[in-house]
Formats: sequence, structure tokens, C-alpha cells
Amino acid sequence: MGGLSISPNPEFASAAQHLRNELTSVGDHLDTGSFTRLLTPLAKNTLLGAFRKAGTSHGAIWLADSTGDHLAPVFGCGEHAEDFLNGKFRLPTDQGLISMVFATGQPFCENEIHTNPGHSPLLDRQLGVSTEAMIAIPLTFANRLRGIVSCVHLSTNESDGESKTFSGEDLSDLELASAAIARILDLVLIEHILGWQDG
Amino acid sequence: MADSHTPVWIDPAKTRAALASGTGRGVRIAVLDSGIDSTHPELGDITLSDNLCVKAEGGMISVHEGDGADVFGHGTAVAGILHKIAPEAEIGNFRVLGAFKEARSSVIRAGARLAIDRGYDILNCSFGCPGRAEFVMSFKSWIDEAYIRGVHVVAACNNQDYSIAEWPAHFPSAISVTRTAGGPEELFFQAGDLVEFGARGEEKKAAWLGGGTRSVIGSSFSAPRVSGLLARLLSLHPKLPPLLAKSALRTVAEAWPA
Repeated sequence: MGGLSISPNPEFASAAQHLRNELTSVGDHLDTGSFTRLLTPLAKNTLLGAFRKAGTSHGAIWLADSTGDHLAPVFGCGEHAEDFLNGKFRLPTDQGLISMVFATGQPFCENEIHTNPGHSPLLDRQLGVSTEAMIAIPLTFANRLRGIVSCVHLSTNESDGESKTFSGEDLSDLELASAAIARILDLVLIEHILGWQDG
Repeated sequence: MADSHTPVWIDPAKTRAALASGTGRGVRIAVLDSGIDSTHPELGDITLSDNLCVKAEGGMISVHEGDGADVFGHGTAVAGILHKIAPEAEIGNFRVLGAFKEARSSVIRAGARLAIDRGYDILNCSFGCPGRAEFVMSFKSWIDEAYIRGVHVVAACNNQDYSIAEWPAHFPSAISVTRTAGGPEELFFQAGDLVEFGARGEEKKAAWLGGGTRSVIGSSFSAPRVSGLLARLLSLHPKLPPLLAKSALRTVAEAWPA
């Protein structure tokens, strides 16, 4: 980083590469249960704050399974969260916007989901809701793209005459939150690898 | 000393003129993405010069001609924006996204090399791979090949934090683009980072699957705007090498919007 005059300690040079490899390996073997335990209150609050700022209480983190066939919800908030965090729901990685963001690695905001047949209706159908708008952001930690952070606006029966949409600023806020969570996850994983979490 | 075969610097006036009047005629753009639905009304008069899918199955890379159907809608949206900006540019569909089980970077590399071999002028890359050391050589091999052979690489990037490396956007020979505000054909420039260019990331009616449209926002939709503008430039100044074209765009781009 420019301006920061800290030079790497040569004694750590070989350990640094080893640590990086170990971090990748640990990340490769993370299952959904382990991930949930990694998500610290700081990470959760960072995410919830970003959702709140974007004007929604409905959001989730999705983690790719070991085969890459599916994305599984590992964290959720909002009134329907318990219904899809039941350990059973899986999103096939060949359909839907969340999978698309996982494929491209690029953040994305969609404001007219309900008008489009390309949207995967799996989760909406299961929860009995109708998604109106969605933001999906790549979550890269432990040296790989491993998941997605998403939030949605749901349609409601009470029509207030206003469509619920997300803005470019909401997208940027969620990207920032995703990057912050990734840093926290990396730090927690490194602490575990180094044994700093013990005792 | 320059001879008649050596491309020369295009001054800002000529660059502006080309961006204003170019149509993309004679320029070939490879869309490395999720596929393209060429029957979409927004792409009405388009004929894909290639329509294929690159897959990795059982450790083997294979190319499937005629199998470029869009699996998400993303590539169709990218092609729709390209077509609006450079309506006479030739578009090739190279589906490289959507394969998760095998190494994605090797599929992208195979698709990019194929596009280079087939004579495309621009590779539009509305995707990003985490900029880790383990992936760098896979990307460097084809990005360097593109540079040497005079093929332009336009890439979307991580636009939250420019210091976060992503491939291919963080290769200096690529034209790296982030999402900004601004009009649909405006180009912005900011020195000091590998990500130097900005373009509008919002598209109110992006072509999507099923013949419909979507209101979308993302850096993925900034890159094709710049690819389209580059196609306009190249349509009047063909054979302009990547670094000269990038420099020419720098000279005419506006200051980064707040």
C-alpha cells in the first residue's frame, strides 16, 4: 500500500505463502455449519447495517457447496429467513440471478424481477413471496469467490403506489459490506489457523 | 521511424470525431459471457459471427459450435448495449460462463484464445476473477497474446475498491472499466489506478432472457459501453494497437464524475 512504510519481515516469508495456501485449503473445506460459526457479530452487524441503509430487512449470504452445483443459504434476515435457512434449500448454480453473479463475479442490481421470466422462482415459490428487486454481490474470501451476498425488496399486497427499487448507491454500500465481511472472515480463519482463537 | 504500416498517434480531435461518427463497421467484438439470445427484439438485426460454448468436462476443454444460448441473460444484456453503441460492429458469442464444476479460468482462457485466433478485434469481458497469484498465469497467457496480436481487451472490474486486484481488469494492457453515473455514451477517466475508465453502469431496459427487458445496474454493463465506443474508434482507425487506442480514449474522456 502506498505511503505505509512497513516492510515485510523476511522471517515470515516462507510462512506467509504457507499461510495463504492453508487459508485456501480451509476455505475449500468449509461447510455451511462451519461458516455460520465464523460469522462474527461484527460481520453480521456490518451486513444488517448495509441492508437497513438500502431500505430492506430481507437479505442473505449464499455459499457454494463443494461440488459447485448449488448455492446454499448460510445466513438470512427478515421475516422469511427461518423458512429458507432450514438446511434443505439449495439454489442450482445454472439458474437465477444469484448464480449469475457467482458466474460473472460482478455485482448486480435488478429492479424489475417480477416482470421477467428468466428469474428463478424456486425460492419465491417455496416462501410464498414475490421478489420485486434484488442486489447480489460476490463474496470473495479465503482466496476464492465462494459465495454471494444478496438482499431483496418483496412485493406486498398493500399497494402504496410506489415501486420498491434499489439504487446504484445501495449497490455500492452492499459491495462495501461484502468486502468488509470478507476481510473479517479471512481474519477469523487466520486466527483459527494460527491457534489464536484457543484459550 | 514510422513507415506506412506503423499505426500513428490519433489526436484528440480525430478521436472525438471517430467516437461521434463511427458505427463499428468492420470491427469484430467477441462477447465472452453467459451466451447471447440473438433472437431478442433488442438485437433485431444482429447476426452472430460465432455462436459457441466452451465447456470443461472431466478435465477436458471442448468447444460446442451453435450452442451459445444464454443461460442467464447477462450476455444478452451486454450484447444489447454493444449493439446500441456500435450498431454495425460484428458480434461473436463465446459462452464461457456458467461452468462451475471445472476450473473457470481455463474455460475463459480457451474461449479468449479461440476469439483471438478467429480474428476478433475486441474481447469484451464483463466478469472478474479474484486477483490471486494462483490464477494469474492462466489469465496472463491470453491477455499477453491479445496484446501482442493487437487485440483489445475491455474488462469490468471490482468497483468498490480499486486496490482489489481482479483478472483480467488488473492487467495494464486491458482497458478496465468501473461503474459510474453519466450518460449512456459518456466515457470517464481517472489516473492513478489500474482501473482508469468509467462508464454508466445502469441500463433501464437491458435485453434479457425470454425476449424481455430488465432494469439493471452493474459494472458488467459499463464495459460494453466502452467496447462499443472503442469499436467506433476502430471502425475509422482500424489496426490501432491496444495501447494507442487506450491512450486515445484517455485524451478525450471526461473527468471522473463525483
